[in-house]
Amino acid sequence: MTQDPSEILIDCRDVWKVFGERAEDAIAAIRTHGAGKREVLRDFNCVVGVAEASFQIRKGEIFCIMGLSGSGKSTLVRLLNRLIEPSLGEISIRGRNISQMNRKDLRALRAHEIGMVFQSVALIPGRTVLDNAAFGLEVQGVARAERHRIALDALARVGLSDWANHLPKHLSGGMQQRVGLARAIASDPGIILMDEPFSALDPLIRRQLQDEFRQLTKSLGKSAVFITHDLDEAIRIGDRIAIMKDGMMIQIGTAEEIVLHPADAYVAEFVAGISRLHLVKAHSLMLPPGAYAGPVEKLARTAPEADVQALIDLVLAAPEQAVAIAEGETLLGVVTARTLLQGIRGEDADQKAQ
Amino acid sequence: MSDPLFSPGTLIAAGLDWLNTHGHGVFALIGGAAEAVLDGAETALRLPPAWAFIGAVTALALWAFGGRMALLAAVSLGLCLAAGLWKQGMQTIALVSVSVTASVALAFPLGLLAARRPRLERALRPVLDIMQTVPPWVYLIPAVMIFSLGKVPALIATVVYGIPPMLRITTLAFKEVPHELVELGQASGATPLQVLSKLEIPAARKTLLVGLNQTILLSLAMVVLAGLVGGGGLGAEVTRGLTRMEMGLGLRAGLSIVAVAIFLDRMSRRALE
Amino acid sequence: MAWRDGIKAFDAAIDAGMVWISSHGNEAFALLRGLLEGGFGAILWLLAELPFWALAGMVGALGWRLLGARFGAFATASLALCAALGLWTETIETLALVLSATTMAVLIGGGIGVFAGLSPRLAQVLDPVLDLIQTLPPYLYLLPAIAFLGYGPATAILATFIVAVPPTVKLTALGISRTPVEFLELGAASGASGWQVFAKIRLPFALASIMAGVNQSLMMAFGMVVIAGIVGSGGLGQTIYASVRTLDIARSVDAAIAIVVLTIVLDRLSQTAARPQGQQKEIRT
Repeated sequence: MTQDPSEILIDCRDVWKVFGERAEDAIAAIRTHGAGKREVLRDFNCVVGVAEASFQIRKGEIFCIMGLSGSGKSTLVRLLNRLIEPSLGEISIRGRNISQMNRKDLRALRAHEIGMVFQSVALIPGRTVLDNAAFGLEVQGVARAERHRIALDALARVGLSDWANHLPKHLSGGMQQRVGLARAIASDPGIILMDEPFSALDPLIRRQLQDEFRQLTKSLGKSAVFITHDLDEAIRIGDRIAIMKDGMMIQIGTAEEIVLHPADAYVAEFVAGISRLHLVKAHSLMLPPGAYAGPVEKLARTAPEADVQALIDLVLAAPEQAVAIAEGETLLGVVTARTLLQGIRGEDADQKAQ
Repeated sequence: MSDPLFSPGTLIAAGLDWLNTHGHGVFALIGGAAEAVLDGAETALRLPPAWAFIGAVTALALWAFGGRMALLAAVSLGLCLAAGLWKQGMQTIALVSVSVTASVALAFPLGLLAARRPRLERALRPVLDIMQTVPPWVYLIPAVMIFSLGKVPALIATVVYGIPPMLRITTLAFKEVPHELVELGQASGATPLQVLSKLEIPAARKTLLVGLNQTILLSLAMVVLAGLVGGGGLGAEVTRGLTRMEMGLGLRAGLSIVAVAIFLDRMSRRALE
Repeated sequence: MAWRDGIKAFDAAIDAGMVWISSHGNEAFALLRGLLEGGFGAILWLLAELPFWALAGMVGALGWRLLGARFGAFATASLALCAALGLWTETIETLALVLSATTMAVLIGGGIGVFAGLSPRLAQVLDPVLDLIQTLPPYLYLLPAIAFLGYGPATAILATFIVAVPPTVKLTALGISRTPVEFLELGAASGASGWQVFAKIRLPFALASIMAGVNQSLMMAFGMVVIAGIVGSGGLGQTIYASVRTLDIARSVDAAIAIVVLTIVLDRLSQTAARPQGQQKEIRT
């Protein structure tokens, strides 16, 4: 296993899932004359779950898939560990095509490479928290003492070591979801699939778990595919976000890219209410150095990654009401109070130029 | 069998002797009435010739439930006739009909009352629990003690045996009726009787019919078993077949019972739809 | 009357058929009979070796553990009552009949139920058969049993088995088939094998339903064993049958009392054992 951070763990190429007996005919029809969801249902009695999904997930990356119910996001995540067989296309995990794996290899892949956390948590009622966290290891045939040691360690990472011998029903929803996460990381998989894990929780607990999850995943160096219907959650957690609608991924990008350049009206409507304070960075707001009338050398300097919130503080503190953006010694541009206001309103440098 | 240290049965038997001498009139009255009703039902069923009866029931089933049920009626009743057990079959059906009617007549109002009065329901529940787990044989013993062998104890035991399931389901059926429906009736100024007949019973109808179906099948099982205590009908023929090892007779009686059971089950279930 | 003659001929043919079967297939039936009576005999021997106070004490202790001191005392008193009524031999015969028939129903019915739970097509085939078994009066099942096995406990056990098997099959199949889908996904996503999914996920989830089925089977068996007195099963059923026929009211009342208290003890014990966490609601089919 290489430690190259740019290593591609998951590679999906033109993956389709069409439910129904005549799935192949339906896909052909969609491809040749762009049949829509309704026509597919009417003509072939098939339902399009996922269409034309192509994306790659790198090592250590958190990839959020955001969509409303029925958008195909839950189907897509189940294609990644072949809980659902794709109708068409290729899915590779660490370069191995999972569609071609036999049952034994597939079981090994699921046991060692891919952990999964469910929306309903799925803690087995009769087992203690510890035995639930150790379930994956138990299935792999790890000896009792060893798997308890590992599971206890995983529980400690989610802050639940004191609850190891309780039954799941004694735990709150947030704690149960932590057990689900401990169960997923106990087998030390490279990839964690999260199927709307926090959607049933109270907003406060949800935020707390989002932060904990991101921190934990990053500290362990795991990749994660995180399904959610909540764009705020996707922005909070994800390195990159894919927006799904009707089985299609209509946009893939960083939070900033999606908020600043929505691919279509559907995405634009979604991002309309999103606060830009932490999303929009200096490099997408700044004016070229020449456009600033005053002496640039006297301005305070900051990095192009500074977000709007930080820029506001700097600009307010500066007598010139402007701040220079520089990378090392190189001057990249200038942010003024005016550009900041435009940035918050949702107008970036590109639009301004038109 | 060893000698008992203590035998409540002896005391009860003595008490019963006393009752039989002093309360003879009451028991004779109940027994006589039961017998009269049963004889009436049996006579009515056997009044028309067998073929006419089968024809009439088949036509009725055709009119009410369609072709398949008519075929079922013709085949199952025809089987009783062909097995040479028409008389016994009619005795069994008469016994089932009379006892189910009596069970429902007793259980329905009580079940309705229990649905309205939670305290009554709580008081009834343990009694019903025990009544529904105790083996059917146990019902026959007190009936035989009071009414000796024959049709009357069979009827009495069957009536009592049929009460718990019907009562329980009646209570359930009325408790399931949405409260808004009753309030709607009250808000519209309906009398309690109108609320019951126009709103509650139609809403509870499905569950009530499930209870009726169960009661019919349990009563049939009891009536057949009552062949052991001289209850007559198809059960008596099965008993004869079993005790004398007359397997031909046993098979004919057994198949007739299967026919009657399926006939009663499907007809009462069709009434559900 | 020609029809009467036809019926006589039919009866004669059946009797001849029975003779033929008993002379030709006798070994198979003798084997079945031997197996049934062997199992029954072993359980009966076990129960009979114990003095009544030891058995009463054990059942009482079990009752205490499961349901508390009051029920424990009631269970012990119930068994002591059976002994005081002079019906101890009959009581343990009845218990041995119930246990052997129920064990058979649980082993065979549970096995069939598991397959039916995993295969909707098998369940579709079985359902009408089980429904029919439950529709017909239990008394009837003595007929085929006695035809092949003759008088004695083997017939009683076979007929009781037929009556007792549907609830276990139905509720086992129900429990196995109703595993929540997210738990099946959990098993698959954890890389569990088919057998592991069954043993670690499906079975634990089905357990409450299976135990409810066992409770119902046990109670059906108890009801039937009492009826089977007519075919010479021994036990309380035969006592009742004999005393009712001779109108020995005292004796039949004593036996009936024994049956009622045994019913309550068995039902409460098995119902509680069926609810390990005390959360499962009663399921009836």
